[in-house]
Amino acid sequence: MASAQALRTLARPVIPVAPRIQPIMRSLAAAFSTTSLLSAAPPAVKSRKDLPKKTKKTYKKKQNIVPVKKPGPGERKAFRKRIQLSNNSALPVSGIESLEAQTMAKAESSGKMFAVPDQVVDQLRALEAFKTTQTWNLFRKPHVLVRKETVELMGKLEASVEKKEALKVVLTGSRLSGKSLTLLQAQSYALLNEWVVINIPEGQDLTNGNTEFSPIPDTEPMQFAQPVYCLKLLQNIYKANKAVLEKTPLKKDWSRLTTNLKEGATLADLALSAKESEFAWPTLSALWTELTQPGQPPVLLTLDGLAHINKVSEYRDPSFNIVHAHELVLVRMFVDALSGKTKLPNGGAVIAATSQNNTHFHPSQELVLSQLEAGQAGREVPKPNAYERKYDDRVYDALKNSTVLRLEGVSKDEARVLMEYWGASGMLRSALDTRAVAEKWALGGHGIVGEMEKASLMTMRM
Amino acid sequence: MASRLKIWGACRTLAVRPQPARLPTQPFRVQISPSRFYADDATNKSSKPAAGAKVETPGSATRSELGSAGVAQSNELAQKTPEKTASTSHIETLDDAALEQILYGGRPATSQREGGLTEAQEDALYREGVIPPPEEAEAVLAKAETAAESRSIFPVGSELQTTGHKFGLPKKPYPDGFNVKKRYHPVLEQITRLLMRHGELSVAQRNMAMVMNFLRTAPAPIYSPKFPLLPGTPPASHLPLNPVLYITIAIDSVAPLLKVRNIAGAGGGGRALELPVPLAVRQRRRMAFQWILDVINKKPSKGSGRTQFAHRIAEEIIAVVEGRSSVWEKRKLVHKLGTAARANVGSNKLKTKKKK
Repeated sequence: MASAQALRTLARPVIPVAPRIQPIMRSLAAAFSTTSLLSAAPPAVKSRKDLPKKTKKTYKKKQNIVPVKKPGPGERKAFRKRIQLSNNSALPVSGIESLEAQTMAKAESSGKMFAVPDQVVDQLRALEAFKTTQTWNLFRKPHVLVRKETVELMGKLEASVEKKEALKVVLTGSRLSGKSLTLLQAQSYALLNEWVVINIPEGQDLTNGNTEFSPIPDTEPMQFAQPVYCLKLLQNIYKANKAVLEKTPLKKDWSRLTTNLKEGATLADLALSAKESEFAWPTLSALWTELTQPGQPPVLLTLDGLAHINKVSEYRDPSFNIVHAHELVLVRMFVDALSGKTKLPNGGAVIAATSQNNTHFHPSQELVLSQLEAGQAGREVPKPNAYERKYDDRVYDALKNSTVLRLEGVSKDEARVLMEYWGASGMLRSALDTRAVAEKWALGGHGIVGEMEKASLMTMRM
Repeated sequence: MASRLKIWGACRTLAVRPQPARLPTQPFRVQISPSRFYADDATNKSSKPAAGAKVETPGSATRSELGSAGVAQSNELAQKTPEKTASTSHIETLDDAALEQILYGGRPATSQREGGLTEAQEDALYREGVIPPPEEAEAVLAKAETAAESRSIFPVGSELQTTGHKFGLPKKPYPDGFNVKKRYHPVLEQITRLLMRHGELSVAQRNMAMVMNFLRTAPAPIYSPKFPLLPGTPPASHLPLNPVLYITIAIDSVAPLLKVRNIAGAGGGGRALELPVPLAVRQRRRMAFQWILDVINKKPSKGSGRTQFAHRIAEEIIAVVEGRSSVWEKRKLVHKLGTAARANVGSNKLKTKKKK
């Protein structure tokens, strides 16, 4: 039995191995070689040349590298862009009133310092109205000087709500003369009066090609949205104007955009409905359409760095043609409001500020601003240069309906108030008299505020 | 004939001296024999200089004061040598205050006032690197003012009027180096030039202004009891709003009192002789700020942009005041070395070396 069993196992046919997984026969390959591959001996040493060569040793002293924690990605930039609005070492200044809704529009508050209320500071921070180049970090709390031009501008803002008509202003003036700060004052006025404030902190960010852009279908010539920027802008608008947006109901039906807008939804719901960047521009445009309906709160639309949105942008369309900045829908939204194409039926203002540091020469912009200024002053209106080829009619048309507000130095009385505030904060140690004020006023180019700051706060001489 | 010639020849060897040669006397320097005898210790002879040695005002002549201080120091150090040889651990216990006592006769008593410094005190700090009590500072300031007035009345160089000029030189309206109003603070001026790179002074000045603004925005420092600052330092809350005082306190507190000079071959057997030398105020500040700059250059910056250098300086200054800085170790090291080498101050070898 046992032998029969053994025989049966022997007779079992061998399972054929698949041809693909045949084992490689090393011995077969080796059969064609005349040398034994595996047992190759090291080369024989016959002379000194055959000795293994020494690798060259470096006797250079190793610098003792101390392991330091490198800053994480984005940390350096965050440090550079940090905005510090209070200094606990500075002395608190007593006897300064806080800004109220109508304070800045009154003529008697001209030439006085006012504290910006804490809530408005938070809102302004959300709007990115404070800049790193401003010296907020030296003082205990943000305070602003209400100057003559401020009162003038705020009076116009007040009138615009009564007339139900948009105020269109371009702020110009020499370097460090306080254009951005006047913009900030206008924003705080609007926030205190429960307007909706939309702020584009730098025109440059829109056109220098650093943010994503995508073409909008069915537009001729092709227009472009900037989804990521729009989403961030929407969030900032919501953060800054939360209270106003939450009590303003929608006037139109936006169910094509988003499904979760219920009956009686507010503008805040609309602003929050954009969760992803693809829906940012449609939502922003919807929000803008809502705000331009009659019966909604007034709107303040501001932009700093005007020259950058008037140039040819760094973007290219799919066929690699250049894209004019006005073909970017966000810029177009601003430009239409500034040119008066979009009406603001509830009143409100569109304010653009030029920059003197970060700018380029734009002939059309220069021409139209000088013409407007001459027209306002009743002087002879300058004519376009016949030999200039780089005029841009779109820019000219965009700006020709606005008014120009020029900011230059403050008066000596205003300078004195400002310097008294510096002194009371403990930042100015020298005795403050007429001579000192006149000295700094003159050093600051006849009262250019930024230059006065440089001469008295940011100097070695104290 | 021969005798006549001899006479002229003898005359020729005589040097023509219109005035009798006389060594200039040094009124403030007291000559003390460097040699010491065994009996000196036993008799407890006072080797201090006479009362005349310290007559000059502290404000007007720092140099001469240092000179006299150096002499006094050499005596006292020499007196202490036997103690040192007896126990080396004594050096370890000798702290900065004791060293200061030896070198400068001690710092003035700490002012116990709660408030900040008076103007005269601040002035004295910037000029001399110590904070005197307010009354003393007032007196010194008044004296300095009268001295300045008298100087402006009698312009310097009035003795030169008669020499070689028929009608004398015209009067100079102001003394040499006169400045109606200095543009920058003296401490800042020195430090700014130290942190200058590639000869760019205005960049250094901007950096210095940024340093001061950073100090003004930083919270008040927390003083460390382990590393005491200058006696008489005002409370910490006074510093941020007075950045110049902040910087001066930091720098003068870590500044070394002395340096050790190596005199080649004077140690015997080809060795260098280590000789502690006291430093003047400007020298001390320079040394301290160089140490701070050394630390700063090794530190990585936390952000980017042109404010980084200024930030690092300001942070190091705060670290010094709070006692976190490694500069304090350097100061300690130098002082220890100086204390160990004080035996060499009146050394005979030094004298023979100088003669060669």
